[in-house]
Amino acid sequence: MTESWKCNSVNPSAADTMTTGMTRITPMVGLLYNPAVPIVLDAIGARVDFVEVIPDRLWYDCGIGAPHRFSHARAALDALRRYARDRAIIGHGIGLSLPSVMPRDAGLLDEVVASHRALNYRWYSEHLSLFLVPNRSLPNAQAGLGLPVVLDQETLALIGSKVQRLSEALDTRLLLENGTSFAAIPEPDMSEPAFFNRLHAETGCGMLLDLHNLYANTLNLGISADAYVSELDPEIVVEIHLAGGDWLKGHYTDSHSRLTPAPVWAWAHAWAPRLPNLAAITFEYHASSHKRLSLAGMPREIELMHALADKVPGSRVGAGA
Amino acid sequence: MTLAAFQTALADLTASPALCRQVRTKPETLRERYDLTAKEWRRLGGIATSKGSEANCMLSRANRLAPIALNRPETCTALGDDLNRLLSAYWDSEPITNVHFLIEAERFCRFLRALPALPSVARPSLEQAHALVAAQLAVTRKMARAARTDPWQLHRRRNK
Repeated sequence: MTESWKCNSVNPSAADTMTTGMTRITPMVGLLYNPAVPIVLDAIGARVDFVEVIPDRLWYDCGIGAPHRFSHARAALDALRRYARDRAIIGHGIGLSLPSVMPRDAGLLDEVVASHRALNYRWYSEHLSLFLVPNRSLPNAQAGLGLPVVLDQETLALIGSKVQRLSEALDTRLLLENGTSFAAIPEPDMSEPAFFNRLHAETGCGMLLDLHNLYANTLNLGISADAYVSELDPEIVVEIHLAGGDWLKGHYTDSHSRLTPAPVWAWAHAWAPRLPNLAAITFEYHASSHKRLSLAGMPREIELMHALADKVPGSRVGAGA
Repeated sequence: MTLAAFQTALADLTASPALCRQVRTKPETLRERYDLTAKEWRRLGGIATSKGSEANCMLSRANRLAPIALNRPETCTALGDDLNRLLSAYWDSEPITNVHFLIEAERFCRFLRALPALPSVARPSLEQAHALVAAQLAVTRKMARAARTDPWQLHRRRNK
């Protein structure tokens, strides 16, 4: 896999922690970008090292084959450009649906690549979830309903080939995020951590460990978070996601509507220091929850993330995670 | 190509509480509809009978309703108790979600207008709503056609 991770920090606080001549740097702290994030950045922007952008939210997609398929949300792009001027940007896609059996969507891939050329993502992530299937698609209002994938050799080969083509097209590091599921696919041929470990071994693809997704899966599926993380190769995790959710008729949802719950913070403090390549900690929330979250303590959430980052010995920037 | 059939069946189960109920009472339904291996059939049967399938269906429908409810709330209100039934009929006729919210909302309005049995109370507001969303959609398409510059060209960043 092409190694092109740019190791220079744009954030003074993060840069200050880097020892000259050393190859370790404190993880960056950032927010998943949404239309309400500029309000946070206006207030406490100095404490936000990066924004993570869903490029699919920067355009309107009229669909494969449509003339003038993409029209761009230019006002959103202008705002993003202003607020990302002195910050790193990470790309976080939801549209390519790598586990789907259909061939890659070349038009969408071209658009993602164009966005990377313009925004210079530090790295790009996608999901280990299905959003598209043959003759159907899943409504993913906010990536809210990706379906679980069959954890077997066939899926591993399918995703592996797409990962390699995507990382070549982007010429940047690629990560895959663990998803949530309300109903796991029975009789897996391998566990999810084993799947991520093998994907990394075979393609170099790193992992975006979403701790809130893992939390939701412990509540909905009864899996053990300790067992999950213990099986995971700690070298492969480059970024972690934090978020909060809601209960819906007995099911816990990754709705991005709350601050990070206490058990997820406990896991983050227990596990993050053991991740040698952890380079970013991201809080995800939905714009519709902005008012409640801000009043409830968004500034505190960000300070807690910095406290967590300070506990991490530092990622080996440029190492082959 | 059984993985393709499996993925389609999984999405169909997620979109349709009725199919889940049918599979629970008659598991062979899946084999009759899709080209599945025995293992894939067991896996899908396990999902259909799980507690989580209810949440899958709930979230799937809520997410698919979102573009319509956000862009045409008055239409949803006017349809009242008929909304659920008409949404299901619409989704049966248009199984592929369009990620463009305005296209999805316009398509739903068009579907409703073509129904002879549409509740009469909903028709006047529907025609108005359809005209409005069609106009909004036309504007975004016109903007896309008129764009002379590469939108990304304006946003090139130096390597940070």
